[in-house]
Amino acid sequence: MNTQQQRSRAPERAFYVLALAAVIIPLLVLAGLLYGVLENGSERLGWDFLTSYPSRKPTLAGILPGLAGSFFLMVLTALIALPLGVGAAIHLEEYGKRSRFARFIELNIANLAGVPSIVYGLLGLGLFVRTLHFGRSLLAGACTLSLLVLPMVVMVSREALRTVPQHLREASYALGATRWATVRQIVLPMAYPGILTGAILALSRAIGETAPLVVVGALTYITFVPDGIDAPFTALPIQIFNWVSRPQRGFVVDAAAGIVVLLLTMLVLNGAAIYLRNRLQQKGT
Amino acid sequence: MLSTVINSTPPPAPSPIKVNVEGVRAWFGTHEVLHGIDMPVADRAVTAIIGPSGCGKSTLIRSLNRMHELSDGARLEGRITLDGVDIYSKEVDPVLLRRRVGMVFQKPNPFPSMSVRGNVLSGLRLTGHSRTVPNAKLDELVEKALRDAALWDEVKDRLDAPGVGLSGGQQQRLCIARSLAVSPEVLLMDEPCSALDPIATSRIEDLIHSLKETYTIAIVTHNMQQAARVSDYTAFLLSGDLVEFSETNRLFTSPRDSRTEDYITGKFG
Repeated sequence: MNTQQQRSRAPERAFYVLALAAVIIPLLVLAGLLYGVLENGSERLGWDFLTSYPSRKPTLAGILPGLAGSFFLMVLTALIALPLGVGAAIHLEEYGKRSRFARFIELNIANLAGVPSIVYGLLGLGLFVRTLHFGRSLLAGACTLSLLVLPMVVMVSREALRTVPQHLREASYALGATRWATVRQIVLPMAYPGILTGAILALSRAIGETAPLVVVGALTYITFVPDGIDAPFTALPIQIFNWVSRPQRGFVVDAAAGIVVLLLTMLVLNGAAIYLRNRLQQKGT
Repeated sequence: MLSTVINSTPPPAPSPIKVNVEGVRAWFGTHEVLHGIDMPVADRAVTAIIGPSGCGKSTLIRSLNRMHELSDGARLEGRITLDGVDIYSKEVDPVLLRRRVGMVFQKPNPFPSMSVRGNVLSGLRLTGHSRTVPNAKLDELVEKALRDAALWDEVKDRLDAPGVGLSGGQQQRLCIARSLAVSPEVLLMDEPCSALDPIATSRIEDLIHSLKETYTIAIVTHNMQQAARVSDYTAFLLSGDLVEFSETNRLFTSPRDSRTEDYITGKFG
């Protein structure tokens, strides 16, 4: 009887070990990566690395234009992608539910989320840089990244809208509210934390994108901070990519330091998402 | 067969008719849930709609304020008049209609993001009326609606507490207060006590008694004792047909249709 019990526990134990391994292996890889870049980049990490411009001498080169470029890109992308994405989600969830057209759009949004980012880059080059004459500017870059994150913003916003119980919409309609008043005063406030969290996560994906920005013409060596939406720009991943591909050992150090800055930026963004969600949820209930 | 049923039960309604249902058929997709209902809802009285689960009573009450059509694939034929005007005619805006015909749902559903006070005023806010009303007037309105819903004494010290923090019965009375605050003429109640305990239920029933002085009330219930206690008229629905409509007393003491008798004596349902 004792052996039988032990035998029946064996699969359970094996599954537990497997699940534990699935947690630990990615963490180990991540830890290894962090250790590697920290060790490599530590000699360049510091305030002057953040505030210096790129240079031919690796020990003088800094990340400022990349950091500023990424920051402006994120702000612009958020300004473009959020209203569009949330608006599309509201339309699909609250207005267009029944139509065949809505279902067709739904399917395509799911497909768009899987399109490789370089394809968005090519679209951005053709549409924004050439056809609309935005040039190789911040605006063109932000528009391209907006296209890239739009499907994700739409999907997370829809998910958030769907968590608002139907009976609350009905309660609102029964009071004589229009659809728009219901969306604005009942549905959106409740979906807001979810939308915000998803939007920040979508942006933190955009901040790491390199390929589409290379295609729309982000520069790799600029010695100024962009001063307008029509200015040329660079971004963190582009700068890192540039340094990595140089032969001198000093630039590898710069690249590692740049990766640390990029990772920290993403951590801050994700942390902000979690913080905001917790705070808004507490306020909501 | 349907017409014989209707003919054998002439609707006796001595008080004036507020809402009249004429030949209403309703569908969900291809499934017909109401097969032609004719019945009046008397002014400032309580009309109960009873019947077993799935008989179409919820659909019927939801067609009175045009909530039925909000469901996917929902369709309706026939006429429903409010003060003689067909509410399904093109000139009637369902949004404006619902301000005159309020509704209380099965599950108490105060808005989770709002305080007690916010919930009472939500109808005004949602319809864009709260900005035109001075604050003192709003306070008055909150008190009146909560008093009318017999909730004021229990919540007057925590008007700013979240509405969902109240007990189930209090939440349901809060939802009634919320409906009353937009001063409707008709109040529809879709099994308002089915999620409540007996004490909370009896409080709501007392409330219904006092509300009928001012409002026309239609209530769906699967609880026959409740229909007998609170209503003046009762309609008995069975699989989408109106089997019998009469004064509540008469329906429960001397039903004309054998199916009504079987149902109220508990032979099925």
